[in-house]
Amino acid sequence: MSSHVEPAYRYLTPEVCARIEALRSRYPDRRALLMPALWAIQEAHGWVPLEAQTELAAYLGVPPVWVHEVVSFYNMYHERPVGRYLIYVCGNIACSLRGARRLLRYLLDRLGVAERAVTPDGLFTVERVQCIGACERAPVIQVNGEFIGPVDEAQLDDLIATLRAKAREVTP
Amino acid sequence: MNSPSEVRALIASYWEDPAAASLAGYLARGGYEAARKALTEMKPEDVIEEVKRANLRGRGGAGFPAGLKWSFVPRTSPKPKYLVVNADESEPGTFKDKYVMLRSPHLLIEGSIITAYAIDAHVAYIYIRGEYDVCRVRLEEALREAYEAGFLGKGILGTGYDLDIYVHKGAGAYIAGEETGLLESLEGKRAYPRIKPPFPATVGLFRCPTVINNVETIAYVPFIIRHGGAWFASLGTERNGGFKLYCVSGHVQRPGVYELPMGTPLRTIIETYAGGVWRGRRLKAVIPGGSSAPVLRADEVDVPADFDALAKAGSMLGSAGIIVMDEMTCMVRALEVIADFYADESCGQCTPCREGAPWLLEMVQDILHGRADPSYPDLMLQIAQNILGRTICALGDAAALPVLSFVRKFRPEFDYHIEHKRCDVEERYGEVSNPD
Ligand SMILES: Cc1cc2nc3c(=O)[nH]c(=O)nc-3n(C[C@H](O)[C@H](O)[C@H](O)COP(=O)(O)O)c2cc1C
Repeated sequence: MSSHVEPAYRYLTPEVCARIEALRSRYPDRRALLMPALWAIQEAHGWVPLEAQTELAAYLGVPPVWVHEVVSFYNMYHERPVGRYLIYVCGNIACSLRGARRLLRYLLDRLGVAERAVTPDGLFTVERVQCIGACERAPVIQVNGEFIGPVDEAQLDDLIATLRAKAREVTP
Repeated sequence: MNSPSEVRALIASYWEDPAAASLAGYLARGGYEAARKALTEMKPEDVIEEVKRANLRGRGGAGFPAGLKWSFVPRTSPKPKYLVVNADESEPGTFKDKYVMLRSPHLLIEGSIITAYAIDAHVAYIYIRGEYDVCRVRLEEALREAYEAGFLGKGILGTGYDLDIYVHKGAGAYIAGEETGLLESLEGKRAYPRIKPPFPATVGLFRCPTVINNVETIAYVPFIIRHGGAWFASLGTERNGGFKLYCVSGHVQRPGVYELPMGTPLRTIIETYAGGVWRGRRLKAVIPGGSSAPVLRADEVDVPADFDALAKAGSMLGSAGIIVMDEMTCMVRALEVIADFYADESCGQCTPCREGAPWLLEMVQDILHGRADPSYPDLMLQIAQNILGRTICALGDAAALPVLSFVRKFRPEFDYHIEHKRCDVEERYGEVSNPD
């Protein structure tokens, strides 16, 4: 007789599983749980490592490729770790008409980091994104989901200083 | 809600009062009375007839009559039916649905209840783009309030009608706003648009009959039920009923969302409401319906901003993202940004779009960086023509139309860049308003 062994999940913590289970009744098909489940994983761990994707596939009983093709298609799932503050800089039409492309370069220079990379202190990742639906505040950025704009160079300087100070406060 | 005789704003009338975002504030303004009326006094078919009479056209971009779309749902189908609210709002230059969700979330919920009732759906999903997490949080709060007050769940408002509304969070993909791409996404897949027919009204979400409407479309439904379809129709122009949320951005003094009667002249929206072109500069060009819409020159903006008049003017109302460009705008750079978007967002299913959109981007970049020869503009027109109408969804058209209109209407700027390897606008003004 083979005994059923619970797989040891590293990323699908009991909390993450509980969040997934709370949503199960919303969809007639378990595949539809993929996106909300990936959000739950990312919110818990900051990103979605390949191992977490494999765990999720096992947990939902779907082929791993179903998970990976979703993660790799949508821009907001992070396949690599990002900084504590993820800064989206909109570079689309309304923002670029108001100088966004220059601001992006300024911000990257100021932090001395390449786009999508993480600063050595682990605090910042900057990403140019397509229109984020806040053109009335162009040029606009988003810091961990919060819209800030219109911004100029001086405000970006202030923002970086504020976030660094905040990080010092909350780091034990 | 305003009494029909003195109407200045419909949806936006809720935005003036921050309290209107809460259930108490919404109820104080007559909230959920329209849902009560629909569920207790009207048959689903009556609701559909009223919305047809209203000339309510879809506000997501295509302008399809909402009542007609609902009437395509097979009433006798034994399958569950679904309502899906499109809150993906990803068309560049568009930001109105965000305000609906943040400031009048109950209007969207009430409209969803009435719409779901009309099509006999008992589950509705609101698909919100991942970047709008602030909206998702607000909407989840409002849904909790609505459930607690008995406006959602089992036996709504003491009737035998049940409805659950769930919010589904997207994760960053423009193509997920295309209705069948959205359905695929909701099902947990890549947002690859489906070949139509079959249309979602018969084979939609989880292969069941489905109605998909934009947030703004749904948010107007309670007004129609409250005051009647004929009244709503009378607020707009022929075949374009009601009010419209116009999003104005770019080089204007007061960018923002303006709710005005359908068919308000484009020039009035820009000059009177958005304060005109900033910094005392002259108007150069306007994109009237989100970045997919063909650009208009300054001398072409005396046109009513509704679906039919803008189509006649060679552009489209689309998502009503009005993007204004001043005289110091380099049109080649502007097109580069737009071409970059469509090349980036093409899902890759159809060859003309997958290959063509990046070619167009590369060619604009070559022009900008002095690497192009004089054959480029015509070649770009040809490539764009070969994408047009040859793809599963309209993203291909969206990639082609800006190229066709920019190159045709501002050809001398493209030719100058190619010939002189410099920017004509920059030389004339010393700088451009859209530097790269
Ligand atoms: C590439 C593409 C992107 C779209 N994005 C959106 C969007 O973000 N929001 C939206 O409401 N409609 C969008 N649409 C239009 C939808 O396909 C669909 O027409 C609309 O949601 C129907 O609702 P309506 O009739 O109320 O407008 C998009 C269409 C295309 C081709």
